[in-house]
Amino acid sequence: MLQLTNITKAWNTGTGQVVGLKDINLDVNRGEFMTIMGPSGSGKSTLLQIIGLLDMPSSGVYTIEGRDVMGLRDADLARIRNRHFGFVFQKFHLLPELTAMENVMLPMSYAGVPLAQRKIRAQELLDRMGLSHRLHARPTTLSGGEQQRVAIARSLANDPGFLLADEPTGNLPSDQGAEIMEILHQLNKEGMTIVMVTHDEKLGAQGSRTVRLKDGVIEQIVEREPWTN
Amino acid sequence: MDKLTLSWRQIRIHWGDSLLAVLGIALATAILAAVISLIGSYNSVFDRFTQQPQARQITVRGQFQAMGSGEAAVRIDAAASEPVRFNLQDVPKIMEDNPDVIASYQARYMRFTTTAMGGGGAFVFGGGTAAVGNAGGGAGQGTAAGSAGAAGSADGRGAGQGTAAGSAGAGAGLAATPIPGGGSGPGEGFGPPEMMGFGTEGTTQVVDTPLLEQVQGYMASASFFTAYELQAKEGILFDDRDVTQGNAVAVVGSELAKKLYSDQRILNKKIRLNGRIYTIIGVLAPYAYSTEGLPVSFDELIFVPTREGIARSGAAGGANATFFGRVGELSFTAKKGADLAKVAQGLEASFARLYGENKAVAQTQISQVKKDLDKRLKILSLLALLASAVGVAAAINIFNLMIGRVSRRTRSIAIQRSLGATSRSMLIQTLIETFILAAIGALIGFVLSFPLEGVLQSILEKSQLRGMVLPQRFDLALGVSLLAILVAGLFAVPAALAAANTDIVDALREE
Repeated sequence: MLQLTNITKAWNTGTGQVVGLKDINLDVNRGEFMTIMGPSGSGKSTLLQIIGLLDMPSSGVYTIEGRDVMGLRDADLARIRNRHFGFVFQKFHLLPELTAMENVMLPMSYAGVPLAQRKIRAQELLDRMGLSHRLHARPTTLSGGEQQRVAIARSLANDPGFLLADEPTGNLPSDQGAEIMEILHQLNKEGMTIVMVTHDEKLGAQGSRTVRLKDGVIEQIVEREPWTN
Repeated sequence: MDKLTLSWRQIRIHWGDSLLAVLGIALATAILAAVISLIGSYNSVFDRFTQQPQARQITVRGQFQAMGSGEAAVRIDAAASEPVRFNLQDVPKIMEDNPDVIASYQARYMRFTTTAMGGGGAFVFGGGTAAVGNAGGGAGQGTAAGSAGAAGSADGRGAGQGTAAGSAGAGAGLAATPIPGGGSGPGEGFGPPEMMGFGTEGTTQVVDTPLLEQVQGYMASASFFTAYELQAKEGILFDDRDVTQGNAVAVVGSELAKKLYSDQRILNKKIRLNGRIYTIIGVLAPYAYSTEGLPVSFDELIFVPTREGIARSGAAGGANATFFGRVGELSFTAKKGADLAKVAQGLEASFARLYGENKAVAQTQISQVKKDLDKRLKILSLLALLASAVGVAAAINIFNLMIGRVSRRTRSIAIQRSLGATSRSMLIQTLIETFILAAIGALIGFVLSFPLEGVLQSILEKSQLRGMVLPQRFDLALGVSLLAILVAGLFAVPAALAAANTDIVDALREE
């Protein structure tokens, strides 16, 4: 479980302090499909980044499985990101220098997985994403949907507990977007905890719980039955 | 895969500026490695030279009188422009004054002609210069028989035939003709010894025609052998008495001994050197030291007693009639481990006491070689400076290149960080990329440094550093190449730190 208590994120700018998140109290439970919604600038991406340890809050307490992560060193944070979180971004963020397979292998190399195992696992994951024919393709030669599927495969490489997705369908045509949502639901069914940021009401409604943010504050939390297609 | 693969891919993707960086490093490494290893080679040669007997030689030369004190009046006197000449009888006293001196000798490097009609022979004996093939002809043939005047000429051979009729046979005239390449077919009459009339002695001697028309060597005192620690392998060396008596004896270096005669038997052979006939009494053992600072290895040379400083009193002939006279130059050998500059000073002081201030200058062989060397080192130092400038430019290029790459790559860095890369591993990856570029450049530079070193050496050696075989200093070239990699790595540290400190959120947000 992820537990955020009184989380605040503020930045100092030349003209004063800008508050991005204010007193956020939120638990992310194992196995849920949480969607974070809100208008532009409401702090939803910032919240996701703090959850994924890409950014640190200015104040508050954040525990992952009961462990306080606020004072951890860079190397420890990197290890938690590597083992516990998988990231899926709106712009896919694959490394253009590497092939699809190498992109998937990358997080495993940070985890110290032996090369042979990395290859097997990467192949497996890409196969599952329906990309077994594009293993050695460079990202630039793949469609948006294919790239996002490679990104999902990559996020699953180290078998993380949490998949954090920031507008994963935002850059995709609706049919490809639907495919991606399908994959996320399938993963969730298999036990993966998913936290997804979106501004799309329809997609937001697909979550088992929706957190609405406004001006850096939680405005509303809606719980609903798990989504079925 | 991992860091290495990623770095290599990034280099390949940006191959244009990668190539530029590699070439910069290669150029700087090549020049610097060539120059540094050449400097190293010269230094090790010099170090080796200092261990050899030739490094302990000191030459004292008489100064031109008029130059000493700048007295204008002295110049007017024609005799005053003659150099000071040293009396050989002063040598024992000079040696006594300078206990660090173990030998004193005269030596003059010579080219000898071994043929009867060689320039030297003609010069010494004033003989004719008849062309080869005239032997047997010519009007003077009969009258010159056995006389000194004809010894150096082709006619002389004819005369010899006349006086020693029957022994030489028809081939005798050919025997003395130059034999290119040293070969001689049967019927050319190589075998039969030539009968000669020898000038001053007025006696007839047998000459064993050698395979070489010209040999080089020294006319030297007997102590020359002591000075250079030369020893006889066969026969004996000539001694002081041979010198004072003007004996026509010769000692041959070990390599020359192998080439001089086809039958390889060399002792007691008669050889004509610039017209005078010498008996070979010894063969030197191979020189036990290396030949740095020598014009030619002693093994390739022939040695005969010096005739310099030997004056003859009264009528010609007779050993008792010779005595040591005056010479313009004397050489001395210092003890092993002696302070050579101090010994040279001591010698100058002794000569000053005997001949007056500034009349003699002592010069150590080592200072000569050092001067030779310093000339080269000066040029090489300038080149090293130039190479360093190229190196700095290459390093700055690396600095800019890597800073540029890291700043263009912040998103890629942020992605990797989000996947679990530590900031340290981003630092290392940037350095790895630099090291790959630098290693390729340094390797190219290392390889190129050898031909470049050869070119530099051939340019510098136009002025010939005598007898020096330069060792290849792979170690130094390798050292410079590794240094180039290290420097490139150092100049990439700011970029690597920038990579390590990339803000993930900012970088991911950037368009």
